[in-house]
Amino acid sequence: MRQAVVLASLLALIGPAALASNTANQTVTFQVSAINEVSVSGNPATLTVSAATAGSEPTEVTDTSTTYNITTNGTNKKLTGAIDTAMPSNVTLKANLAAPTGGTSAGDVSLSATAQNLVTGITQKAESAKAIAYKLGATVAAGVVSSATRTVTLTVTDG
Amino acid sequence: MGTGVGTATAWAHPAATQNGSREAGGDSVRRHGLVGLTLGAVVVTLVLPIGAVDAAVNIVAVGGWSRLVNASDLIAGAGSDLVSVYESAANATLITITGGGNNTWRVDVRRTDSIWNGGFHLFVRRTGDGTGSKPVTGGLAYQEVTTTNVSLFSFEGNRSSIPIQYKLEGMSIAVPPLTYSTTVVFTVVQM
Repeated sequence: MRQAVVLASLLALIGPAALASNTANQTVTFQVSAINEVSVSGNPATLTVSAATAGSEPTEVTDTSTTYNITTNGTNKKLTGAIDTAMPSNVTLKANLAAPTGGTSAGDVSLSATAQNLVTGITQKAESAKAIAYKLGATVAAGVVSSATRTVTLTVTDG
Repeated sequence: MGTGVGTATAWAHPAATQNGSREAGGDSVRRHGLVGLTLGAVVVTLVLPIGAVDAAVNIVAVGGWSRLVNASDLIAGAGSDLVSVYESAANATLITITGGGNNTWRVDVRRTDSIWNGGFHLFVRRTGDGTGSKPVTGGLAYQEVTTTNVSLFSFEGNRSSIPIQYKLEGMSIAVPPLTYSTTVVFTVVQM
């Protein structure tokens, strides 16, 4: 008989405690898209090759007036560069981009219509005002070249 | 945890249930009286709470929150990080509690993660009272939602359409692109 009373009391306590609560659920969802953004501060000044040291090829000229900004939430991304039209024969346009923290700059890279790696190993970075250097060079074989414009396209892509 | 609803119902029908048990097992009771009494008492407590479910309080939550985070959420475009704090609409969820009788109740909140980021902090608050004849107290300031229950607000009786707002902190460019989801569980308990 004592056993019966104990069992009844325990169950009576458990039952009401469960009944006195009820639940309702809501779902909170965040969809984070792949973000790969790059921008530049502006256009560099006109690069003009106009001087040479006697006995040497014409002197290369450099512009460091522009910078770039990059944001990516991806891993192992790279920054490539390409120009819209190939350079004239014996004329070279190079780009040298400083790397975001943790990335690796490729140094001076001759640009062409085919995308070239400028910076690699970029992972989840948001950095701004990274240095860009454009360098224009020509050999005497280029002769006199008319002024022209090239559009450089920087792209964040998978590394 | 409350005991009011269960206790009142539990002692309302013991005689009827005990009688029913004895009728079903009458011969056994006569031969083994002590055993019969034991089984009878167990059946009473198992059966009665089932009847009490209908009278229990009920909570319903309608809505939820879904947010797409993309490049438009960068603070200042390329070179900048993502906005770190996001808020839902003030009435992203509407909570209704019925069957509360004249009792005082508390709504607790917790979350159960599906895919979640360790850097996220989810908060919840109520932005209004909803409708009901008696006051609601607490819950007007953001309360962090963790994986264990915390008290959000309390009230007496019934309440409908209490508006709930969510806030997420901790978004950054270091959060890998993915769909993150957690279930926010609102639990009503008697005080």
